[in-house]
Parts: sequence; structure tokens; C-alpha cells
Amino acid sequence: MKAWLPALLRLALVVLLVAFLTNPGWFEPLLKPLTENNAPVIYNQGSLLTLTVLHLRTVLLATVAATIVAVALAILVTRPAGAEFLPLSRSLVNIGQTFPPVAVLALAVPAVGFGEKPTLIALFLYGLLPIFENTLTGLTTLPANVVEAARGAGMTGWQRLLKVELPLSAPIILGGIRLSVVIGLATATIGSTVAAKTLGEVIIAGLLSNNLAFILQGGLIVAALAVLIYDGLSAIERYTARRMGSEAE
Amino acid sequence: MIEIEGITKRYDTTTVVDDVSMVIEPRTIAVIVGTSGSGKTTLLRMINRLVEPTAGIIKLDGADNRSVPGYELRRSIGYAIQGHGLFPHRTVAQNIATVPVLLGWDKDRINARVDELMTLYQLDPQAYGPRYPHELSGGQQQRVGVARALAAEPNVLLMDEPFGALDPIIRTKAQEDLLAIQKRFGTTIILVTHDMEEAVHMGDKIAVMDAGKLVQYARPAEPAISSRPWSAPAKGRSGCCRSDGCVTRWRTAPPRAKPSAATPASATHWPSYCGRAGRRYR
Ligand SMILES: Nc1ncnc2c1ncn2[C@@H]1O[C@H](COP(=O)(O)OP(=O)(O)OP(=O)(O)O)[C@@H](O)[C@H]1O
Ligand SMILES: [Mg+2]
Repeated sequence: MKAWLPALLRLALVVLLVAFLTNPGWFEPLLKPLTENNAPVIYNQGSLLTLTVLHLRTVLLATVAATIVAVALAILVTRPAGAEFLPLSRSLVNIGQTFPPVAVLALAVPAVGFGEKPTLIALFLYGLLPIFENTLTGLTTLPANVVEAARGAGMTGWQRLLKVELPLSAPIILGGIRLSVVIGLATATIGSTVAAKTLGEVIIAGLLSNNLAFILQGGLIVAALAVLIYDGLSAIERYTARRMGSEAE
Repeated sequence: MIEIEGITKRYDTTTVVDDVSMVIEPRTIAVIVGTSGSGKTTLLRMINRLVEPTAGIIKLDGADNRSVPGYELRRSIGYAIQGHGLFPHRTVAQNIATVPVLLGWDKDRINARVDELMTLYQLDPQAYGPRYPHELSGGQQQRVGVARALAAEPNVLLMDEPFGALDPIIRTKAQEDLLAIQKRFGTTIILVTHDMEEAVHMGDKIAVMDAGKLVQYARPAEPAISSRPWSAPAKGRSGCCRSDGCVTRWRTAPPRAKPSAATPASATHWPSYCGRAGRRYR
């Protein structure tokens, strides 16, 4: 396969997505066959673009919070002083993952009410594990020789962490963030069951009114976002890995 | 001056360095030789406190090395780690500048120092300065590791097999350069090597370690060194002889262990000259 083909496909996907979000009317003829009884073809209870932006915002907020907490936790338990909390923090983060997202939503609603908040809580809990695990892997599999050289040069604990350990773990940490973003993009759709403004709204509206066109456009936008963001983050990850010298290509 | 007094390091029940005492006179080079696993690296790392001793005291110019915080101590002592340990995410120039940056030197001084050291080690600063370690050969990496140790002009330099990956010609050059630097700045150097020629050539004194103990510490010319165990392979040790003399080599495995499936003879690091003209003993 030619090297430019994947790039071209991605570009086409971006163009298609932007066109659909800004001018969904253009695509009406395509989706028309999926509807019956003259039902509306394009989602009409709100702008698709606004929903997409809100969807992304929810995922972004949850991922940023999950990254901060997970990375901080991983740093803490890999320091000599925090080593005894390693098993505890591992199981705590695992619990976050074994809880079904719907259950998290159901439990969060009475506590924080309907809307974006319960969704943020669910996404946050779901995002923690991959980032935590990857940061732990990164920080515990550093080349011993390099870390010792940093000590030998007279770096303090903080200097080692900031100048050597975190930069060298960056590609692996980014891998964890990428995973949790993609999980979050998908999981955010169910947030609409508790009235969060996400693309799930479109899908749910389609399910309620038996409108296949709605379901499809909601699902496709989420899928396109996931593919593009996954690709973009992978590229950043590869770039960082090269910059950190971990790949001798 | 470095005074090592009754230094012992134990991990659980195994004693890795066993009651070692030695004095390294100022402005001299002490070379440590010994079998793999005899505790050379551990001894070296107790001087800059990368390893804390179980017992004993180490004094640098009369002051206990525990009188300043570890990181401060280590900034004042050059350390060329075994196997270079370069930072893979930093350029060659940034690697060399590590300690000067930590010490807060100004930019111009750091750049001048980096250029000087790179030129000394025959790495063109323009071409090699911006490269990353994985873009260098093993020998070049090792020279950068030594340059990094020298960067802040330390009074004391700890070098753990710094020239192991260099070819004979560059190795000789690197040895001469180190001797010149040592003469010029009056640096006190402790150097670990597996190469007896290098030990004799570089060392004002040679320390022989075996199973954590310091078994000899003498000038190269003194009989203790020139006779046993260097002149002929002692029992349980391996060595090689060529027309102008013998060199005892130390096995990878502890001296008493016979080479077995677990420690094949091929794992032994023979000096390069043994293979060519030497006759090998087992
Ligand atoms: N952190 C540690 N915990 C337990 N044992 C250790 C530790 N560090 C070193 N040792 C043991 O101490 C012994 C001496 O190790 P050291 O690295 O000082 O040997 P060396 O003389 O430098 O060997 P080489 O020539 O192979 O570099 C070895 O048997 C090693 O397994
Ligand atoms: Mg060693």
C-alpha cells in the first residue's frame, strides 16, 4: 500500500466529518432510505455540531482529571515512601473499572443530580485504570542504568522525576491516555440517559422513535471521532517515543 | 585524598564488600581489578553514596562523605557509570552538560566546556553535539559518558570500566587523555577495569578485590603485584600467556565455581589480546 493512502483516507474522513457537522442537510438524500413515514432524516432537536463539541468537552474534562489523578497516584506509589500503597491503589483503580458504567451513573445521579456531572464521574473512573497502569509500567521499567546515572550526576528526587523518569515514560503514559480517551468517547454516549448533552442524545432519540437514520448518524460521528483521535494520539505517541530515543529507527 | 575505613556492605545475609580499608593519595590513580561480582562497583558507589555502607566510614579530604546531602556530594564527584548510562532523550551536548546545569553554570561557560570536552574526545561538536545517544557507536557513547563525568571539573573521579567498549587505538588515546587531564587538574581517580594492561599502565596503585575483600593494594611494580597472582594463573582461576608474560583473567563466575551450563566459558570477558597471540589456561 502506498504511504500516502492512509493519510489521504484520514483527510477524507476529516472533510466528511466537518461537512456533515456543519451542513448535515447535504447528506439528507443518503440517509433518506433509512426513515419511514416521512420522519425527519437529520437530527432536529439540537445542532449536531454543538452536541459534538459538548461530547468532546465531557471526554476532555474527564480525561484531564483522570490523567492528573492517575499519574500523581502512580508517581506516589513508585517513590520509596509510597511503595506500601501500591497494592491498595491498584485495587482501588481496578474497582473503578469493574463497575459497569450504567451502575456508576445510577449511583451518581442521586448524589449529584442529572446532567453532565454523573457522566463525568463515570468517565473519570473509567479513564483512571489505563493511565495508572501505563504510568506504573513506564516508571518501573526505566533502564536502571540511566536512572542511576541521573542519581550519580547529583539530581535530586524531583529533578530525576521531572528530567528523566517522566520524559522517558511519556510514550507509555500517552498510550494509556489514548486508551482512556477512546473508551471515554464511547462511554459518553450513555451519559445521555441521565440527560448529559452528548452525541448519545441522537442515538437515544433514534431508538425511541425507531429512526434508523438518527442512530446511524450518532454512531458514525462517535466512531469517526474515535478513529481520528486515536490516530492523532498514536502519532504523537510515536513522535515522543522517537524523541525519547526509545526507538532506534 | 580518599580514606576508606572498614567499609562493609551487606545485602540481607550476603556480604558484598567485606571490611575494606584503603587510602587513595591525592592526585593519584587507584585502579581496582577483580572478578566479576567481587564488589568493585559496589565499593565505588559507596564513595559517592549511591550505595549506603552497612558499616565503615569514607572520608574525602578528611571530611566524612555523609557530612553533605547525597546529591550535593555527587555533583562534586565525577562518575562514569558502567555501560555509559547516557540519557536517551537528551542530546550528546545536553548529556555532557548535565552536572554543570545542575550546578547553575552560565550558558557560555557550559557551551565552552562541552565543546572543549567533545573536541578532546574527537567528537566534532557541530556534528555530534545535537545527536541523540542512539545515533552514536558504542565507543562514542562511552566517550560521551566519560566526558559527562569530567564536565564539572571534579576533584574526584570514579570510573567504572570506562574504556571497555573502545578499540585498542582509541582506548590508548583515551587513557593518555585521562592521564593528561589527571596531571593537569590534579584529579584523584578511582578506576575499575578488567584489563590488566590498563591497570598497570594507569594505576599509581592497584587494588585487587576478591569476593568482597581487598586482597592486595600495592604499586604495580611491587612484588606483590608482579608475582602472584598475575604472573601465572592461580588455581581455580583462568588466564592466558603470551611470549612476553602472563596475565591472569578472572572468571565471570566466582573463582571457586567451575564453568558450567549456567556460566558458560563464552560468558567470560577475555582480554582482546588473549585470543590473538595468547595461550589460554583454565
Ligand atoms: N542491590 C543489590 N542487592 C543485592 N545484591 C547486590 C546488589 N547490588 C549488587 N549486588 C551483588 O553484589 C555483588 C557485587 O556486585 P558488584 O556490582 O559490586 O560487582 P563488580 O565487581 O562490579 O562486578 P562486574 O565486574 O561484573 O561489574 C554481586 O554478587 C551482586 O549480585
Ligand atoms: Mg561492576
